[in-house]
Amino acid sequence: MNPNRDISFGADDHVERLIARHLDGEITPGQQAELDQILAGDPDARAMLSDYRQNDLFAARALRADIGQAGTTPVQHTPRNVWLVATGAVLAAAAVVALSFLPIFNPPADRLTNNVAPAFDMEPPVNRLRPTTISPRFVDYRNVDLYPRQQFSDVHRDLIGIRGPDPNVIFLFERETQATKVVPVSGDF
Amino acid sequence: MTITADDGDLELIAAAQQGERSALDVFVRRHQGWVRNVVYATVGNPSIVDDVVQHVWTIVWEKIGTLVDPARWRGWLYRMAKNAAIDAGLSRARERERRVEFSSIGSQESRTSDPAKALIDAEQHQQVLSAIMQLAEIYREPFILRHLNGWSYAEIGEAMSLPVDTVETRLVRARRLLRAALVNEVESRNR
Repeated sequence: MNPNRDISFGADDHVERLIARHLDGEITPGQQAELDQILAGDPDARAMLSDYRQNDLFAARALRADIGQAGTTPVQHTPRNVWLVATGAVLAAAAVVALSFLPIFNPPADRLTNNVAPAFDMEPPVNRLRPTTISPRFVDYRNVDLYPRQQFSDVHRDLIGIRGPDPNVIFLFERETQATKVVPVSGDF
Repeated sequence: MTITADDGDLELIAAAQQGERSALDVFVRRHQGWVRNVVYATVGNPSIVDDVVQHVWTIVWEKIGTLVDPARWRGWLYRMAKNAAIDAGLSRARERERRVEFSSIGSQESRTSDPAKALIDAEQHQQVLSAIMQLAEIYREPFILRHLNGWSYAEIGEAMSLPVDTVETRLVRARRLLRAALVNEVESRNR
């Protein structure tokens, strides 16, 4: 498919423009009233609005998740991010201890007697985030000072750790209001 | 996130032009987010964005003395970011990588791991990302700046040196093309 090909969907350009303005918060009260009237009588326009709204939501999520996973470039450590990493490590270690009591992380004896390595039953949700080589440099030393404050003002974050197939590796699940990140961490746990 | 000037941006630029590195550091902290998104909108590959952004700030430090009209610093900084991304020669690499990823989506369908929702979400993200990254650049850039930065038409136009009407038209067409690409993708998978 030619990505530049222009395609019409039935509703005319004026309606499409009104829908875009509505979604982008650029619509005037008069235009909103006109759009409401059109939507009431035009199923094509309603379908377009629904599709565009959904695509906008998916696009914003996907873009944030995509660019949010970058960060392999080492950044200067500051007391603040060191504190974050240290807190994450403590939380992860505590989670590993707590999770080690669950049956899933204590395989039956027959599996061990057959020289089968304990299975890693919980795959990280997004495998492509896992680097091919695990080393401490992949720890996400996110320097919050390099990001605009407003990005963090309403973000709630917590961390849990899941032990990986390598006994020296745990996966940190960092949950925020917008996305869940999986960050492999290696070290002497 | 907006690019509306915070108090002191012009003072920071003036100080940086006098050689005060600390002023540029503060300026970087203020505007790192949207500069990063501008680079991302061009190169598309998040794993290389930070390297390019570091290069952008190096260039800014070297060239800030040439900024004749500090009041127009946003457009100037936008062009620095954009040109650095282009100079890195990464756009073509992005196209190749994204096409490979797009073509490999189907191979993931047979996976039946338990965290199915996470997998579906990941596939959905990939489909949407692939569709966005295959948009022509003139549509992709304002679309990404709108959705990542939350910029208004006027703010996008200011940064990209475009009339507001042009920004609006490009966003309308970006949405139209994105919808078509996703519909085509669903139809091709259902065949």
